[in-house]
Amino acid sequence: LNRRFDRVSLAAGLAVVAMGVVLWLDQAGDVHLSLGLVGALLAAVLGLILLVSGLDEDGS
Amino acid sequence: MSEQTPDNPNPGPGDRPDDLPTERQPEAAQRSEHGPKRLFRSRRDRVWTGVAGGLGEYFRIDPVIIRIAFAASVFIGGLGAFAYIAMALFVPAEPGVPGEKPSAAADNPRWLAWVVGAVAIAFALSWGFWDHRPFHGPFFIGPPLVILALVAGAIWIARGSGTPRISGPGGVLLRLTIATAVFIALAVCAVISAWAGATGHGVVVAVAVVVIGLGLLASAGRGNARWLIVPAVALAAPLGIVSAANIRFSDEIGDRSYTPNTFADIPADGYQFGVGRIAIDLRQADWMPGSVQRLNVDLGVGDVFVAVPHDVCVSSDLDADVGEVRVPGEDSNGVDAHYEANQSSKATPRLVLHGHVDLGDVRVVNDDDVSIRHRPDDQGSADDMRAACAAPGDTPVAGDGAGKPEAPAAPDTPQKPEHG
Repeated sequence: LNRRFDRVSLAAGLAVVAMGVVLWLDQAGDVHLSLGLVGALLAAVLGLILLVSGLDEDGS
Repeated sequence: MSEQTPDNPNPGPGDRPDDLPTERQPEAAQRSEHGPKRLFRSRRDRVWTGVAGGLGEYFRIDPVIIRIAFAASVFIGGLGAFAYIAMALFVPAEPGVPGEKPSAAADNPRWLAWVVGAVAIAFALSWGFWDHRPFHGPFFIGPPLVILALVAGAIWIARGSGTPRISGPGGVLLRLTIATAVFIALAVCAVISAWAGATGHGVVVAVAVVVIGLGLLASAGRGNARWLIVPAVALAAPLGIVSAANIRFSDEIGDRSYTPNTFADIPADGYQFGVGRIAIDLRQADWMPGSVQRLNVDLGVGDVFVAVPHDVCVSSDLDADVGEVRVPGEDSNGVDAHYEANQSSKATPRLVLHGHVDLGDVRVVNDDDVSIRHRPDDQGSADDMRAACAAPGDTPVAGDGAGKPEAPAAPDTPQKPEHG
């Protein structure tokens, strides 16, 4: 898996898709995002990406 | 002061840059004889990434002093910590001596990525544990530091996505041009996203973010599309902020001033506004002993100013998602700034004020002369407010905005002891 897939892209893709879905639900009115939640969501997405990137030994 | 490093497990006095023999002088120092002096992260005098060591070599001062300054700066706003992270990410590592084994740690400060990532995740998790106030609690290290570090980290990740490095005589100008173009493109993405969100077309942007995420997943096999993270964030962040701030461009935009002469002039549902400033001057209203007036104000982005005569009690329930709430003698600011006061007061005349702003300020003025057409510096007297709210009274609240007495309204929020 390490050599065939870029783990950072994989994690980033999942995180971005999740973020997009949450935004989609918010736009559709199914959930309501507060500013604090938006900040936490962005921090979580970027934090996850950075964390995986930092732990990625291949470092591509 | 040299230290033990992966490259130099047995440091000694001879390892100091100034003590090195000529053939061991770093390439940077040799280059400085023929060209401009350049700043590098030091390979030999390094605790973490060599930033302090590089600055020490560059300015010819003891790196320990720089390290102490960086550490101290964390407690005075965090600017130095951000500067350190930025330099670790963007200042190149010192070129190695021919034949020297390159240091992966020096060339690629990977530890920074997971440290910043871990801090960001801790910050995100802290949102749920500290009264939904993400910038409070033990994880508070300064919002600007967190945000800027995340941006720097995202840029660093994108930088490592296989983008070809440009060098040569025109390289600096070309890189500057490309960086400017990228910045403009991202700004355009952000503006389009915000505009779409504010005009009710945010679903399109949300779908675009999902598609970008799928693109990242699809490119995981190649591993060279990390740059897609940057436009994804550039699209998602403005949309989320605009949506959370409830900004709608169909609402009115601009500045509005209201000076009702009677309570009947006040709309029953109060004042709602999209972006701008609302100034509500109630000092000319028909305040009478025994009169109690309810006022609701809701603003997306901007400022709310409410002025009352000095002898009117203001029973307030004010909040700002991001911004500041100020009443005479009190101040609350930051994220989820909230203020309640005098809610148990029965004094009259009394204004029962419910104010909310998503991004901006809410200010109450009880000075009879201060203008609120612009941001008021003087808000009045806290003593006057206390005196106005001290007298007992039993007049019910006029809930329909028309000043008609009606049954006492149940408070929207739990009663709290009076502040200030």
